[in-house]
Amino acid sequence: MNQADAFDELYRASRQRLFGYVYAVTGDVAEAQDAVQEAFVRAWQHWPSVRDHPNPESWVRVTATRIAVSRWRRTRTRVLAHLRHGPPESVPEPGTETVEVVAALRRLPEEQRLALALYYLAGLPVKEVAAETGVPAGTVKARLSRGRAALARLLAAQVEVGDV
Amino acid sequence: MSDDLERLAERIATDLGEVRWADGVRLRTRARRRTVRAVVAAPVAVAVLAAVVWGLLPAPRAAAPDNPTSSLAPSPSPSMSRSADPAVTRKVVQGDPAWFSLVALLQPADVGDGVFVEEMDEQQPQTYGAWPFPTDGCPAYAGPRISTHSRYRFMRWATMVHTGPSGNFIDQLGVQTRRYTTADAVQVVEDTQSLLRACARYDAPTEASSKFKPAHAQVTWTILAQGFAGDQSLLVRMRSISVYDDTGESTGNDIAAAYAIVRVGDLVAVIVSEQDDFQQTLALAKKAGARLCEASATC
Repeated sequence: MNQADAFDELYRASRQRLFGYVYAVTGDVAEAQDAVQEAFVRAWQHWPSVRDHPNPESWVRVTATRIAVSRWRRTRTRVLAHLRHGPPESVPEPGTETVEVVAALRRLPEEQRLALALYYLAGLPVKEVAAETGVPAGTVKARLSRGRAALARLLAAQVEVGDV
Repeated sequence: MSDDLERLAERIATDLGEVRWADGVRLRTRARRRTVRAVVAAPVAVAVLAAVVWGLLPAPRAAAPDNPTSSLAPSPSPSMSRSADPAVTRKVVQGDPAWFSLVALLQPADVGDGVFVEEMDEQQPQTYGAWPFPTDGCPAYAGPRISTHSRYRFMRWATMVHTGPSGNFIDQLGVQTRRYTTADAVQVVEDTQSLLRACARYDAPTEASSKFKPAHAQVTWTILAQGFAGDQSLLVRMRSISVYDDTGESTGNDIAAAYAIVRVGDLVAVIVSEQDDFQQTLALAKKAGARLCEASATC
């Protein structure tokens, strides 16, 4: 398999999964897709490193996360995406339940949000979440536990409001 | 609680399964262009290579990592491709009166040290219909449709970034240059001014909104300066503040951007900056005007 084919295969196999993960982190469909595609562009620029990485998808996910988080930290707008591509084509809209959970996730502290997204959406075991986020496994477990509790409170509050 | 999260992955896969993706070739092309431009920016100047990259000389059939027959010529953006008007089927190439070289586009050196082109492309006529100013949520925009801006004869655009402290790329700004007929170019700037005044303040949807915590964005467009460069020019501030409907509390999704539009003859440049630095955008707009002058027959 030549390098381009290997890249294409990684791209096809992992982009949707990465997209779901980044969307859960940012809550922004267009930003998530842009971040994932940008991460793959950088992956091609660094292809020898990515190809030889023990887990190429992890390389792309970490890159996409950094892109997404740095943008969202700067309260990134879509203005440059708009300039590049025009108004977003009609992208599929997530269902109400999805939006509610992602909106609640966005209200969590960043480290808890990332831990939950890596664990539940990227499907990584605790040990790999620890490796990707650069913290001990015990810290990851604590973030997951606190994140779940905080999310439960936020979603419960939403249900109560909805019942009124 | 874990059920919500565990089901989230499935729901996302279902809800967002229809999103369209750029193909791998396009991503690799973007990556290659950045690498070439990094080489051009290196102190070891290769004048011939630079001339090729900037479109002043025909591109050789250079070997590339994935396609031995690929060229360095930029390719049109497939995401913006539309069916061409049968009356406009001729491709604009060097030598065509509508064509202009990269010299008409603001360059990384105009912006500052450590800035480089992230992405760049040219657009043939009728392949890019977007209005550079995202006013699609403004009620006034939904009325009389402004269409002159889409009648460009040729267009180039680029986004520029610089490397932040942690090694990430930080978006700096986006630039566009378009050639119109002179009458259309004048109209484009006048339409911009009219529309931004009509859309000075409006409420728009925001992604921060949810069923149980509805929110909206308060959007404002303010013309800060005009007539500072070229034949016509505007400096504009856009602010979007998202607030919850019930409390008016900010959702934390506030955004701000600086825009400038400059016309010299039949050429129009648009600059978009996420830096909210209006003095810098004003200075860049003046430089953009100088570049338009360089490329224009009227200066």
